Amino acid sequence: MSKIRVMHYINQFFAGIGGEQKAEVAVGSQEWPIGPGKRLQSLCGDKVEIVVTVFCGDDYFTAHQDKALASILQIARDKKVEMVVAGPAFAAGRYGFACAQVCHAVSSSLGLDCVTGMHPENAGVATYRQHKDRRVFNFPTADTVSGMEDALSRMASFITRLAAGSATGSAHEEGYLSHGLRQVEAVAKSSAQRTIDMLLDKVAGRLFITEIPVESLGAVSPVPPLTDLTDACLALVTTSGVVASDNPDGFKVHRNTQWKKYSMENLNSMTDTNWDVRHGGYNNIYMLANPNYGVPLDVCRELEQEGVFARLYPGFYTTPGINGLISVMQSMGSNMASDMKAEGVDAALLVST
Amino acid sequence: MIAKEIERAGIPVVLITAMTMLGKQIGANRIVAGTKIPHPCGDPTLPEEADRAIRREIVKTALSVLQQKVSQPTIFIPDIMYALG
Repeated sequence: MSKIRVMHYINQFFAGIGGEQKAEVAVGSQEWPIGPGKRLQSLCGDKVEIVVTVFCGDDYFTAHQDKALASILQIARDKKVEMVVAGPAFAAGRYGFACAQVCHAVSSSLGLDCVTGMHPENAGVATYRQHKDRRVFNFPTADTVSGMEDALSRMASFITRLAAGSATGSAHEEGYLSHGLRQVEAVAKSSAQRTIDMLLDKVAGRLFITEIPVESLGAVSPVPPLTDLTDACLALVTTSGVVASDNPDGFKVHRNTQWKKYSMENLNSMTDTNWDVRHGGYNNIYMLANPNYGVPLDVCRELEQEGVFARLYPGFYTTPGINGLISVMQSMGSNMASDMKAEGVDAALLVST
Repeated sequence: MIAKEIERAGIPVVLITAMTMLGKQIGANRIVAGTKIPHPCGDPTLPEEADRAIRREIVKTALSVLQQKVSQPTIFIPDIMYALG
């Protein structure tokens, strides 16, 4: 059986060129294993062969990414490589980022399997998860180079199985860092049985593995409270999908990518005029009958007149918040916020269905 | 997610929703419990006056929450019984 031809990507430090003073070194290559590649080659045995080592300074890669990636892809084509290994990068951020980008470029342009390794908190992990390439596998390593042997052993064991074409299992089974992708698989137990099993394990304090990990979305520091509402301009926002009558802006009932601001300037209640509701995630009949449930204009006017707050912003911000991609919702939120700032809004109430 | 971005921009915001736990999990900092998912501000099963009283109480709670200091995602429950007198 012919050996699988592997390209190994490392930075200038591991290539033996130098430390930070050499971080500007451009892409170069040698037709043999260098540094960690030597040990990797011996751990992988005779099923794979590192036919080329590509190296690049960490600063060079960051500053000239397109150029660096183009050179690396060209070398991969010239050398007819069949698999790419990058790193391990441990906790080195620029190196980890470069490894993740090299793997992504190779996997998406050439369709090759890629294996890399880095510490789970390396910034490159976020890049890896963002790309979600099914054929890029990132193995967790220690944060320093003292974990080299362990990292190389894990990577080598996976590389040899990948080269042999043995089916690759889930992130949990194989030990690589999760892509954040869900795999469809046939299992013997129903979801109800699996859920109860997990619950029993949890109650008993046994280890269990969730099938749907809760994504951590990061925290935003709370803004200090308003000291005085009586001179504040208040805006209403809703994700309930209340839109202008007959939906002239073409809102979809799922996965919207747009928001609009509709005027309620001369209204004392949402029922003073006609609206539509576009939202595929709840029963719209109540909202359609009385959109004050999603845009509480009637009571806000009352409170405005009573002087509880100074003034209601004349338009309400709306979108159907249903099945939206997190990134899309974030960008809508930040665009709404910019608009509010420009319009002098001091505070907002957001009604979500 | 929208509430978080508004807050990130420095504008205090209150999320009114029946799905308070979800709001907390996502990380909205000021959350006021709404009535039900399809009608967060009010209750169509009640007479019109009571329905509106609930809406008013929810909004009033939200306004008072805008003036309260919070250090992490916090859920506030409006006093609906009070609203209904």
